[in-house]
Amino acid sequence: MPDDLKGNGHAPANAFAELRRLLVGPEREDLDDIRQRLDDPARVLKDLSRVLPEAIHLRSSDHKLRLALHPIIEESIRVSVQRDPRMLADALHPVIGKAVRKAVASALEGMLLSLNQIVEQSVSLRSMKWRLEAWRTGKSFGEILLLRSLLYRVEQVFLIHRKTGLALLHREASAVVAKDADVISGMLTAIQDFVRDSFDADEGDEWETVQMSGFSFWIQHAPQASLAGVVRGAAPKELRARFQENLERICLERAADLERFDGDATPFLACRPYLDACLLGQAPAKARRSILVWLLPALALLALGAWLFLAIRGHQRWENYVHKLSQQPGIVVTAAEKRGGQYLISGLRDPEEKDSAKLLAASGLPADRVRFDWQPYLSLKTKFATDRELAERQAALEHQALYFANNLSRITPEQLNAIGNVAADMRGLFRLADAAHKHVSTEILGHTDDSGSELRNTMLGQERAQQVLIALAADGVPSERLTARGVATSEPLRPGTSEPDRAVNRSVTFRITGLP
Amino acid sequence: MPENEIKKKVCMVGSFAVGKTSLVRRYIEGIYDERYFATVEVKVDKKKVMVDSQPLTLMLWDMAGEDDLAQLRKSHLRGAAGFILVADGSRARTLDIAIDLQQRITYETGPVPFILALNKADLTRQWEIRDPAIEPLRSKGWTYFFTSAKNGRCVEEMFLSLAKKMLKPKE
Repeated sequence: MPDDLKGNGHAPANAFAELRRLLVGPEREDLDDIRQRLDDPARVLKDLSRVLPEAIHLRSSDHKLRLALHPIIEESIRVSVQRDPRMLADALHPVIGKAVRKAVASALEGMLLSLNQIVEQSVSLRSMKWRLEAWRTGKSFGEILLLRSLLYRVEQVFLIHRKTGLALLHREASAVVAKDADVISGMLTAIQDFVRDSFDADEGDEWETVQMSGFSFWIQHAPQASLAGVVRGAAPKELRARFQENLERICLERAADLERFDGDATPFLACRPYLDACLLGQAPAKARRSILVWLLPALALLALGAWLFLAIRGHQRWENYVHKLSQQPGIVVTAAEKRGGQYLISGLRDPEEKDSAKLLAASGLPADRVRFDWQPYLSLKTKFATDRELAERQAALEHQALYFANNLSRITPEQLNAIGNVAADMRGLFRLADAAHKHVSTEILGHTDDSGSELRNTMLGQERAQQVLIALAADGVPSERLTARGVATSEPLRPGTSEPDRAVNRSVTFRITGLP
Repeated sequence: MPENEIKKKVCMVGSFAVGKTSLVRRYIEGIYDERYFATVEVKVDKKKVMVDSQPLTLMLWDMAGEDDLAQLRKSHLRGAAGFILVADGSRARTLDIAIDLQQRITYETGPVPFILALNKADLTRQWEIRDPAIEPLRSKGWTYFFTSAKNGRCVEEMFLSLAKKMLKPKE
């Protein structure tokens, strides 16, 4: 028996230790090694770094990791920007530049577009018409603009096989340049699939619109096929019913063809009428070419023109008349105005002034509508002074009378004196009249009383007048401007038959002719 | 007898940046752009071809590349008459994704014809997809093309091949 196993009291303990060493010695070393590795941070890091990328990759689809990393990354970026913003700026530059350019370009484009619209709407003939309409109907321009702009047109219609997204049939309105219908159908289907998948939308007979700038897609679905229309403008909701109705007919008629469709769209050519029925549009209401529309404004214009012409002509005549009147000697116009269709002139007028009446007649103004308010005055102008003097001298001469004895025509020496005075007055009058370019002459009238026979009286009157004519001519009055006429009893100075009346009636008087 | 034009929906599927859009552009417009544009959601294009005097319109749904299979938008696959799986020959992983996609799409659409395009065949130096990876597919009867949107290699042939498959009467 070995000493180790039987010797002193320590022997069993040693033996166990030895046994343990023999049994678990290598594992203990491993354990110690592992403990050492775990206790040494440098080694832990080294080990972890070896597996970390794969570990993260492994958990990449797990959102817990994302949640855990999210605040750290956010904070790291914040710190990085705080420390040196340039680094992030440099990194983002290629992206930002492009994005900004695109944004600016699109903003500019939008601005140009709206500018075009504004210019177009404010100066075009159509907008003038709209403005006129607004004015005529009492509506605001904006209202008319909306009303007239709210027109639409279905430009293209696509019948699309729902499952494959292939175009079964495509129809377009005339004068529409259509892009490839197959590609559009495919993309439309792809977009709808994408939207449906992304937002968990239900698949059913839904109605969809895809709004683009300037136009929209209106899409109606049936289980086998879709009907899509490219719509420009604002279409009414009734369009939806029309799409629905036609799509249902197609699905009913072509159910078998839709079911076994394998790329050959020929059977669907028969559906053309249904698609054409969807090519709707509300064209701008055409103006009725009624002649009245043009005739009425034309007549109104004509009337306006005529009225303007008359008004201007009337005004010119009035102005001319007033001007001429104020130039007229013996007239001072202090006010000339039109009041309620009446012409009113006020001022001063010399009583000798006579020509203004002729002016009014020549003016073309309606004489009955011209009223005058004249204050009399004496004009100092030569013409009127002359006229007045002529009138005075005429009156003085015509008051003169040369008296004769009963049944006699002989001029007595006493009468010669009076005839001398008359001759002087008459020569003066003639001179004055000649200077004023007036042809004046004198009629010498021989009167008699009512006694004696008519024949005798006629002869006596003629003789008396003749006698005075000879006497005046002898006193220097031009005889060619004198005429002698016996008026006998036809123009008596006094109507009575008493002796004093008869004495007055046995006389010669003078009548000046050629003055107003 | 003149045939009626037939339209077919074709989906382009595959990982990010394998060249789906570039293949479509090369096929339709005959051009290649070096720049990379990520496709957002989907873009629909159209190409008319003649297959044995049958006019055929291919509606090509160029779908956004997704590495995460869960993201594949099933609604876009609806009604597809065929699809093109695109993988990037310089990234082996994109082939795995394409294989996975094939199963999922067939589950959605039923058994419809498809073609595998191993694209970027011009990048011979970085080429990662070797025969051992392709062999199992060949034995399963897959049709595949080494395509290049950049130089146009096999692009027409690939689309035409799919067109013919789609027009074949179903067994």
